[in-house]
Amino acid sequence: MKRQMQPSNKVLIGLLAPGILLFTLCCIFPLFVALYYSFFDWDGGYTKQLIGFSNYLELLWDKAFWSAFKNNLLFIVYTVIGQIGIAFVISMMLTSRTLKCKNLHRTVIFFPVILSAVVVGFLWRMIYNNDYGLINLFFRFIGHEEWIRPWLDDPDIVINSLAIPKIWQFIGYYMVILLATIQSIDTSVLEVAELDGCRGWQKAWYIVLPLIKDTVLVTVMLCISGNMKTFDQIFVMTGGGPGTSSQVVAMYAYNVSMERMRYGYGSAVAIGILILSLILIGISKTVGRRKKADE
Amino acid sequence: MRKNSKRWLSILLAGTMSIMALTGCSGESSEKPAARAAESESAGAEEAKDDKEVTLSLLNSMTPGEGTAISYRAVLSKFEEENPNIHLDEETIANADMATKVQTLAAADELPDIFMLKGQMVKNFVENGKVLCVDDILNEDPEWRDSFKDGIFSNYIVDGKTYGIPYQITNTCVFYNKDLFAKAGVENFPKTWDEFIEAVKKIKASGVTPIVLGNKAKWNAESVIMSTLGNRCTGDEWYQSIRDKNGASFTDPEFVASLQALANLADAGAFNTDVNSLDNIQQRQVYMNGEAAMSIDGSWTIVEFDNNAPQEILETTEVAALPMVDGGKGNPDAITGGSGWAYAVNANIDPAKLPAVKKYLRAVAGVEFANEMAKIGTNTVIEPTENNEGDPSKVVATKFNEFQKGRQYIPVYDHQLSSGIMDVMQSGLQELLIGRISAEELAQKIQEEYARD
Repeated sequence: MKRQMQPSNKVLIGLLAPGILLFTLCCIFPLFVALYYSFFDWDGGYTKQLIGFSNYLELLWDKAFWSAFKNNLLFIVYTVIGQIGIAFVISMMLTSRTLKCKNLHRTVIFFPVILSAVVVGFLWRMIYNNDYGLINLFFRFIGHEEWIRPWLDDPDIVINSLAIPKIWQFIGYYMVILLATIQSIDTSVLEVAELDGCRGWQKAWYIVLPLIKDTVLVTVMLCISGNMKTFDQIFVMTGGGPGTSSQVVAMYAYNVSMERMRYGYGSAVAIGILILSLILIGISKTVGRRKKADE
Repeated sequence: MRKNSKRWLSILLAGTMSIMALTGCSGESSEKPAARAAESESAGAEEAKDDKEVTLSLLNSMTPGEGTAISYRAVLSKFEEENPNIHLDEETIANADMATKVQTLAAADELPDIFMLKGQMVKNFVENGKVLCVDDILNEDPEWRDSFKDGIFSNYIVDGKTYGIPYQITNTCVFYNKDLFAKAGVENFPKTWDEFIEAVKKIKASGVTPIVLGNKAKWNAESVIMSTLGNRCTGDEWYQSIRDKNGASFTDPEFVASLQALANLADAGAFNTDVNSLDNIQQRQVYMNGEAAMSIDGSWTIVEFDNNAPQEILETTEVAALPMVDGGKGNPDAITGGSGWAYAVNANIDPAKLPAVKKYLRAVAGVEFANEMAKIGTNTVIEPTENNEGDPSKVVATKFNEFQKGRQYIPVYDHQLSSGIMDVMQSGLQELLIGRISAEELAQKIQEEYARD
């Protein structure tokens, strides 16, 4: 019986092959191409000069790259706290018994996820607009004109202004993941906790959070990888400006390759991003694992 | 069961092989025209008859609605009527994306037959053998060749050979609203930078934005202000020395002074607070709404003004040159002018297509096109034989025509300097405009990139 249910290895390989082939052609192969180009001084023509690790040495001392990376880290901090934190609070609310119209809430909160980042970028550019933007209109309406800031023009706050739409857009995504896990918790556990007098935030902190920790770790990882490749929204909203104050690493790789025509160095930047992302994900994994071992 | 799975596997393998074969094939075919070009240079051209069916692939930025595109479509429809055997496979993208697109296509070796090339890219393209020398095409029609204005090809000449056929000249100037000037108590457009800053302060006090600038795309401040302002301070010699790598440096006091002049202007509150997040279309709108007293922009904006601005704005709009900086070495009357983009031909083009290419270029970059451009008030690379004088709907165009007569042209930085330097300068100017970087620091940064280049 069991033999019949399990397909032969060849069938398995056959079924997996199209996906793997596509993945290899679209992701793995270009990765190695980029790795190859990163050892060259190449400006897009016939002449490529092998320069070994010079690109990587330059990258190590490239202030622009590291300041862009710092912005990525800021985005990661903001979005881990903002997206996963708020998503957790919302999903706790959605699982409470007192809330009405749960489906409506879920749909509305999930809605921004399906919008393209470019659309969201344009939308928020309008919201931040100095003269007609919703935020400034609101501040004028309530009589607090002194709160008005050049939202996308002040290097000190531009990262915050960019993080808000990012957080807003993807809360729904993490909410769906967390909600599914929370709903899979055995209700008897929660009922017993309630009988013991555990309420509200206590229930969330002491009962639910430890039970869904593995999922939270996965969402943190998704958050990190999502933020390391963030590009489109920032490109639309500020183009990395003012100056380079909202530049992120992916945008830097793009600028170096496409604007300055230094494809070799651009490839090195891309490989640098890959290595940094792997390190970050490694850190988040070990931190998670150590906590688990502590218990 | 087993046989089935084997069959599937073989189908899969066959599929993979055919994909590989396909990719291999495309690699070959891109090399073929080059080989053919070398083999049959003379024979190919003779063989081509006028009535032979030819397809030319084109890449341009003639997006509907833009001034240049209106003129282009007019001459193109005539060309298509006269040459039914030449089929045009045209791809049109926004000008803002053109540089990236062309460079990417070049890197992938997939350039179309005729594409657009920016002055600053020419050297790189020539070194990499991507672009055909157009001297032969021009020399075949001496009348056409000689009709171009003097010096128009300068951005496209490398080692004495021409690689691009320009089709338009873009100038930059200050558009100002004389009513708003009068309301603020400024009688005439200022002649010197100090007077300019005084005027800006007065206008600001009267409650309107003195200068609106949409610098989100980063090239704006450099292209429409800095290129002129830089020349006012440094004069031509310094710039020539920078281009020839003849000892001049971006940290020289005259260039730092020009950055300082811009910093002082920004410091006086001249620009809108959202200068780096507004784009150039929004810039135009702010000016057309009468919310700003000045808009520093290029001549490409004139047709937009004439078509879209309210009548009272059109009537009160005047054109001026950026004021002179005291102690500067430049010509105070000069304005920037040059042809930023030109038509270029793929180096690997099939020689049989060359007669059609020549016909096409002659049609879209000839005197007919210049006449069409003159009608909408844009400066042209060829002296037009007809113009728009007396057309009452071209208010700003008429004023601009009067303004630009006899003026000397200054080169635009981003037409000629390398993209690396431009990237640093343009990003730096965004910071300079909001006081986040000093003139000396920015000059230092640009110099570092210049030295690395």
